[in-house]
Amino acid sequence: MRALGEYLSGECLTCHQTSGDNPAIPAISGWDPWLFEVAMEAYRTRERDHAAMQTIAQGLSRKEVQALALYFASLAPPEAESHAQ
Amino acid sequence: MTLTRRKFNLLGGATALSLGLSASAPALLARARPKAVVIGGGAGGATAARYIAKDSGGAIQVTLIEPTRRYYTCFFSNLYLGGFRSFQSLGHGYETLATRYGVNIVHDWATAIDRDRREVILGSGVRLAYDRLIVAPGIELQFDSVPGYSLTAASLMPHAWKSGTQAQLLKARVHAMKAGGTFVMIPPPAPYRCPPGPYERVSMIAHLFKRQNPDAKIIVLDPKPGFSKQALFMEGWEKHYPGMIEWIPPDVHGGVTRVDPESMTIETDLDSFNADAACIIPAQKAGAIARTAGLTDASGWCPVEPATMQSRLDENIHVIGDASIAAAMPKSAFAANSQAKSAAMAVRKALIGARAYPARYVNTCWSLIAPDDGVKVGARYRPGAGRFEVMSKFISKPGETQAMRRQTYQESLAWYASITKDIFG
Repeated sequence: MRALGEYLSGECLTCHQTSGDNPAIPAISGWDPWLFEVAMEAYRTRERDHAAMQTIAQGLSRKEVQALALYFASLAPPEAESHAQ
Repeated sequence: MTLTRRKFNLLGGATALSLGLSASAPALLARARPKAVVIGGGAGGATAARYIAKDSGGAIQVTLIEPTRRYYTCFFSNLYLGGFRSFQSLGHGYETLATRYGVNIVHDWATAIDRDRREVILGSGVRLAYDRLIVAPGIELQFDSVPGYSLTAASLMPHAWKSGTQAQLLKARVHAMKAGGTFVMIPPPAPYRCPPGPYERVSMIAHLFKRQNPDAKIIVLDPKPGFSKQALFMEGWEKHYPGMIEWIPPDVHGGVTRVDPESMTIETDLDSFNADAACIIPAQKAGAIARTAGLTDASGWCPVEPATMQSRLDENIHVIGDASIAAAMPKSAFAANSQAKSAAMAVRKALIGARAYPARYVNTCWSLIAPDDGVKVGARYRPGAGRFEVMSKFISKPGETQAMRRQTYQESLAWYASITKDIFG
């Protein structure tokens, strides 16, 4: 599951940084997996508006979203990482 | 050192083990790691090097060949032209790839590939052995596709279609243009790097003129009857730069018959244009190393297997980025970065038996029309039988709110920060 999540995360990391902060494309590291899944479901059903994210979400199975949710939850949130440095 | 490595390569990793070297020679064993070599340190090549190194945990020896020590991205160079970015902000080094990921960075030209012996030959004469090779050379400009244009002429009429000083030269010429002068742009025929790029460039030059040279004119002599995001650009040009930009399609100008850089004239079937500054973007094909290595087809680009980005002409070589034939994916940094991850996974599977998942591809291209007026187009793709299939796509719509356009522009800035980190570490 982690390997799948890590692989799939490559698609996210072109735009979402694992460190640093940019509100236009928020960091998604360290998110609660449940929140991650809810957000992706809202994009998939187009209840949440963002053309690029809707396109991405519609291309992921439930299992793939879960794998991503677990993977990003396992990463330190940006603040924690910047403190560590 | 190279001789030592080559000599050792002749033995092969398995032979070394059977000779009983394992306990006494860890250094030698380290050299038995399979070798991935990447030609080209741009959006595709540097991403591939980083992902192979990162995800193999040191099990694969990764070498990246890139002549420049600092890489200036072509993407966002239009924003530099328009005054929205500094030139320095486009530059990226390879230090992190070396120190954090253990990639061996070789600043040299790859001049040839000995495919039978699986060696890359460098400008210095050194031969570099590989088990898998990733070729990411970008584009080569076909100067003679525009009669009268040449590499030399690019000093007077810059193409600025490769990153670095050409962009600086073009910017200097735009700023130095006389009041009320004429700027002529010749976009390239398809396929070419960055489909909306020439039109974003026209927008950025118009933005400069609006502030500094409001009576200036821009004439676009397009070899194509239409272009990427056309409705969005046309709407934006009318809104922000009314009467400044004249886009002339080929059925009107009849084709560019000659450019003369010395007199700054551009002749078409329709008319002769006197330019005070010009940007000529000629036709393109895969970077030279791909052609000399026999990886291109009659089109001048490299046919690949969509599932792995492997060359159809050599299974030990993957071609990614602009040099590959990946239609319907555009030739963009985003696409190259996406293809690099697929190729990196295939290389890890081939060399160390890593688990591979079905390849996924995605792209988004942002363009800036005027301050806080950003638009985008994007799509998701999957590998099909011999082609890249579009799964779904999206594009900004004409008439969007200012808030939405501002958000799109802000998003592009965040994307630049993220992708350059994903590429260079």
